[in-house]
Amino acid sequence: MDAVLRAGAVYLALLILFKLSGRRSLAQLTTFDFVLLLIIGEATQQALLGDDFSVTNMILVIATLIALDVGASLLKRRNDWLARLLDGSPTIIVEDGVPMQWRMNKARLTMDDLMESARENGLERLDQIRYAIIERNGKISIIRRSEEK
Amino acid sequence: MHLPEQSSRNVPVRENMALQIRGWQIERLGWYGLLLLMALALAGLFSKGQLSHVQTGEAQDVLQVEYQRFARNGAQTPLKVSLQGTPRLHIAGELLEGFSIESIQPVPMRSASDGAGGLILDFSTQAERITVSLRLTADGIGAYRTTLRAAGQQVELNQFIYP
Repeated sequence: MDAVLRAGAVYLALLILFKLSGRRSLAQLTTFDFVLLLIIGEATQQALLGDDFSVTNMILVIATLIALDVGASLLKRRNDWLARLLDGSPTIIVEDGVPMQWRMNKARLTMDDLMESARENGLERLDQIRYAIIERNGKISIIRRSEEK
Repeated sequence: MHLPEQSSRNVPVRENMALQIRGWQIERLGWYGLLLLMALALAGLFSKGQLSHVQTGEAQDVLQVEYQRFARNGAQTPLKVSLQGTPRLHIAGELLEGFSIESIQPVPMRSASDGAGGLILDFSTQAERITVSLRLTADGIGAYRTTLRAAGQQVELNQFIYP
């Protein structure tokens, strides 16, 4: 019984904590973020398994986690509001070469983050960007201006 | 020519800025929540700290007890009892339901059941004052009420074990 409860509690706690850290946090992984992620995994592991290291417990815990995750994705498909709440929605941050500073502040993005994504797409100046959009997973998509020759 | 930043666009993606702004607000509230959680943890609400540590009894009392009000399931928590002028300690109540006793130092000469789920510990000593350290592991969840008795004096322990 407690394997299911543990997995459920950990799932919910992580869902809330990661929601609070915002979508930007783990999408652009720096080395330090990666290490942090490992430590978070380490801290989670004990609470997830307790002092029961049996194969049965492992199977129960993983089964519960996967079931919850599938359940959440099914719920999100049915309920648009829930999907937007849990996954967020894309947010435009550059429109026709004009950065939207207020939105970038709210999303805790800097101009450097934006231009980094631009360079990854082979663009070097702001005015070459038609749209820049923060996707639901925190990545910045760049759509270039079509009148560029 | 552009819409204000706070309003939703439909091209190239359909936005819902009202919900997004609400999301950012919740996020910000959540950060304060995290800070609050840290502050409470430092203060000892989740064991080991000012709020959790309890010391009862004066120096001249028969029974002095030092314990943690809050414990966490699976973690160890100390219980220190100081007896003056009596070698016998009676642990009654729910302590044994919520905790398992890992060790008792010094080891009692005799340890017996009181017939009601409690323990009677007898220490052989010539010393005027005995300090007993019990190492407990919390394995229950919820509130537990324990009574410690020695030579007619008693102390109530109210402990809460977090999951």
